[in-house]
Amino acid sequence: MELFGNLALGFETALTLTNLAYCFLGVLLGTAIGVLPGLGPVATIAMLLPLTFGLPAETSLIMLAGIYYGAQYGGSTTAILVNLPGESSAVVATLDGYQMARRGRAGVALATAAIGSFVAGTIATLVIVLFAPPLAGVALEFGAAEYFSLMVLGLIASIVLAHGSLLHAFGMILIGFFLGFVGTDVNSGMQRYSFGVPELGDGLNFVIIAMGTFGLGEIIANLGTEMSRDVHAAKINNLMPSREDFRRIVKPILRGTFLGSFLGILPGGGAMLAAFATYSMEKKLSPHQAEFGHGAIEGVAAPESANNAGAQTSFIPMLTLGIPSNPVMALMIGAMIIQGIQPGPSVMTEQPSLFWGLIISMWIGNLMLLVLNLPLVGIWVKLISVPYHFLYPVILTFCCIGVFSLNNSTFDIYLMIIFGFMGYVFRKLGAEPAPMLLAFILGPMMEEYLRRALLLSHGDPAVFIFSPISGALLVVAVILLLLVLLPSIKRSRVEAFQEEA
Amino acid sequence: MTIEQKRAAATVSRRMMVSLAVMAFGLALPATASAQDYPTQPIKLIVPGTAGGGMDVIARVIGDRIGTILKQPVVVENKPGAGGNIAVDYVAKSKPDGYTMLIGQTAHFSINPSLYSSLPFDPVKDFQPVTLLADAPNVVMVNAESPIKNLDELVAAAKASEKGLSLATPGNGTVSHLTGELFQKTAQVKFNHIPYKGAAAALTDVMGGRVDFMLSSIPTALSQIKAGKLRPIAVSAAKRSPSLPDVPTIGEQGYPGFDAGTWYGLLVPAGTPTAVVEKLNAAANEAIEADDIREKIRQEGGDSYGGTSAEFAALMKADSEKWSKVVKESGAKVD
Amino acid sequence: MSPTIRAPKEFWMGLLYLALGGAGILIAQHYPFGTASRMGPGYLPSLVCGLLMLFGVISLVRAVRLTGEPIGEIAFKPLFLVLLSVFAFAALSLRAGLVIAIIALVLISAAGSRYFTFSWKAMAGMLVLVAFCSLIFVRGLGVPLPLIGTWFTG
Repeated sequence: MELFGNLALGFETALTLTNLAYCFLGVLLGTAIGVLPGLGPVATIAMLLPLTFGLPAETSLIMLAGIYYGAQYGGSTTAILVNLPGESSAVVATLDGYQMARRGRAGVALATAAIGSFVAGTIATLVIVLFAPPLAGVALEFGAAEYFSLMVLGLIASIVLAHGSLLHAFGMILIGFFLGFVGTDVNSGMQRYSFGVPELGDGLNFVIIAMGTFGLGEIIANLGTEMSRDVHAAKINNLMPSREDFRRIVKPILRGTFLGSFLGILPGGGAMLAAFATYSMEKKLSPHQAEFGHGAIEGVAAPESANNAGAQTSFIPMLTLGIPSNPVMALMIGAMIIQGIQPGPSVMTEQPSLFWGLIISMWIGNLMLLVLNLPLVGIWVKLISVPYHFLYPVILTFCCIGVFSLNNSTFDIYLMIIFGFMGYVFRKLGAEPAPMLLAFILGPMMEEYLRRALLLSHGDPAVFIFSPISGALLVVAVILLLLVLLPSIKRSRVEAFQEEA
Repeated sequence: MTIEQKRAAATVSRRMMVSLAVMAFGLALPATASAQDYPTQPIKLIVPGTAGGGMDVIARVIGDRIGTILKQPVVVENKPGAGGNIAVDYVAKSKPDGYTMLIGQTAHFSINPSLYSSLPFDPVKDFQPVTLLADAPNVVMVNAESPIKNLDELVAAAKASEKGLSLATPGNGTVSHLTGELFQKTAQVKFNHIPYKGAAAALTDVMGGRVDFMLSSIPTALSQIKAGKLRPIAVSAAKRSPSLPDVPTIGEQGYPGFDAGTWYGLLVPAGTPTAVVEKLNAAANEAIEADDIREKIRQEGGDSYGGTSAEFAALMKADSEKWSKVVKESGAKVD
Repeated sequence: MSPTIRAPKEFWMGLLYLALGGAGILIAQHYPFGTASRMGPGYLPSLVCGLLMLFGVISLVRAVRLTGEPIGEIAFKPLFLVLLSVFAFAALSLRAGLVIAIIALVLISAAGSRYFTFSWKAMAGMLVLVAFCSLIFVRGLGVPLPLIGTWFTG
């Protein structure tokens, strides 16, 4: 069979000593920069790019890919341990992962993330092996109207993210949209809300807002309550998930993997939705709904799996169509071009050892990550058991250097101060920043897609309904909105009565 | 694995170590320099874009080689933001000692000055051009299944359609956008301009058949063209591109004199000692004449061009005049 | 019914929405509005800011009609010191260099904790942090921060 031949070729390529070594180097480096908040894989890969010119094409891509998924992995470690999401997908990991850490279950949360990621990585690799060519076409089916509707659906699903007041979940979404307007408008090229400051011309950076509202806000809030309760002093019970934990995470991991694998294929922002969407889905499906937001293990397992699966399948449009779905993929394309390979549909036929070797190496890399990280769990947990008043200055230092490294500019650190202040205010007022961050990510894309869809249809809004994909997504969105609204309308009525009485 | 590959791998890790060590050592050195023994410390090469953008790759390839020639590492530093203006401004205000260079392109020096109502730097007075490095034309392309086969058919289709053909570009104010504007004026047609955020999303829509045609730099689309998903119908430069030798220019197809492309060049702050500029010019020219570098630039879809700093200055001047007219007539404005 | 504020959190959120929305809508007046089928750059900002103001009004109404938790004590000292320490880092990192900037950041932010005392152990920890950042970030990962800033190198 052709498939087995391909797989054999893949293993043959990936299992050479050099390729294994560079794969390990990649995931190790990736984990390290992922754990350090603010430092992303993009800068690291770009820096290493000239150094890979002398390597064979497979080896250099295997290493660069390792950095990418290693960083995805390391990012959730920081999010779980100290509530610092270094990138959009890690925001979800803070929701329940950090809560678990505060309850002395940091080890379990990290192990769950590791296991979930590995399972997801394995299945996603299989998906790529079996379906890469047919799935490539899916990316082309999604135009502006389809993406817009997908994001409407994602946003509505995200309202479930908040566990407080529905009104303020919507309110924070609006604030997120508002922050997303800052910068250059794609359609007109006009600068909005940038007040003539050139650094704001490209908009606010996600990492700055996340570090400010989550990182700084959390530190200030913790210091404010230092006396009344000892931060992180909860007794650490066990490092590994119990049998009961395993029973609870099986289905969430599988569901997360499938949703993540599918959304990862869409280069126009699908992968970003994956973690958020699965979290919302689990929260609706779980029998332990009340635990969500307070350390539900499903809330770590599902989004981590989705995230890793999405990271994996986002290679599909890159490898089969030559379309990068994020800056890292753009860099990988750059690396391929320099090696004299034109990324695109021909890679699979003209460079089979590269194509299959890379895919198999991703699975091996995931295995390495698991082996590398499970023993590390104990060390991480020890690290955060350091008294908080020694820990937070270190977190702050990493935040500052990380934010500086985004654009190599101190302006971004000053901006982070403003968001740190806002983060504390939100916390005191009981408003949750997670929906705001999601809206901040989705808002600019939604505006871009909405206006482009209307430009292409010469102003006819019917495109959103008559495109079958877009229409179906919108119908699901409406149903979901009703599902979300109905119980809370009922509940708020009850509350209102109680308060009147 | 062959012996060559092993050797290559070993060299790279050794090079990695050496360059990291040199970088570390160099950063701690105090700045002392005179034009004679220049360079005595690492040189910063500022890239006005994110790591990994098309220009970034070219910068890293060339910077790496210049570093080898001058025996001092060239450290690439990315300063994205505001259409490149942040990086350009940073270099304009740097010390003119030859240790801060900029890799600039058409947009920064010939388009932005007329697109933005005020810039914090003067593209002519604040800079000393070193040399032109490369030139990359734009390409007009359609979906491979489109009935349009050449420029004449494109113009005819545009004139026949009621609402105008839709033209995708990588963004407002890009060279591709303004090339489109220039062509509309030259050919007396009107397109429905659809700006994107970068070429990738635009490519997807052309391949998905949602947009009629697209203008973009060659490297961003080369793989799709080679795979037969997109049909190139014209290149925008005065000469055919070595990456697409079979594609005629716009000029060849009935619009003589049409010439629009993106150049990439090396610049330093005004006031840099002439001896330093000459040293850099010689090193950069040597770098881009090397066969392997020329090949890498070609793979990125560009032609490498060297030359003197005076030639580069003249090109910048001519381009500024051309594009400022296009910007004014198109009414494009950013702030 | 007397208009006393019984839900202070609602009240302040309401004011926040109103302030953001109001400012946003005022600024958006300078951007072309366009039409629903051909939206200008000002269309959606105006819409979102208008909704924000509406939410502000709803929150204010809720503030007097519902009863909510008090805001609680505001941690002015940590708030000020943590933000100040980040400011100090930003201001010092390029001028005085990373070494001094980290020391300033650590000392100022640590003063925000009630458990803050000078001890040899903590000082040693700080120096390890400085060494770690210099080695990993600056030398290893090439973050362009000077160890010794322009104040000292001229």
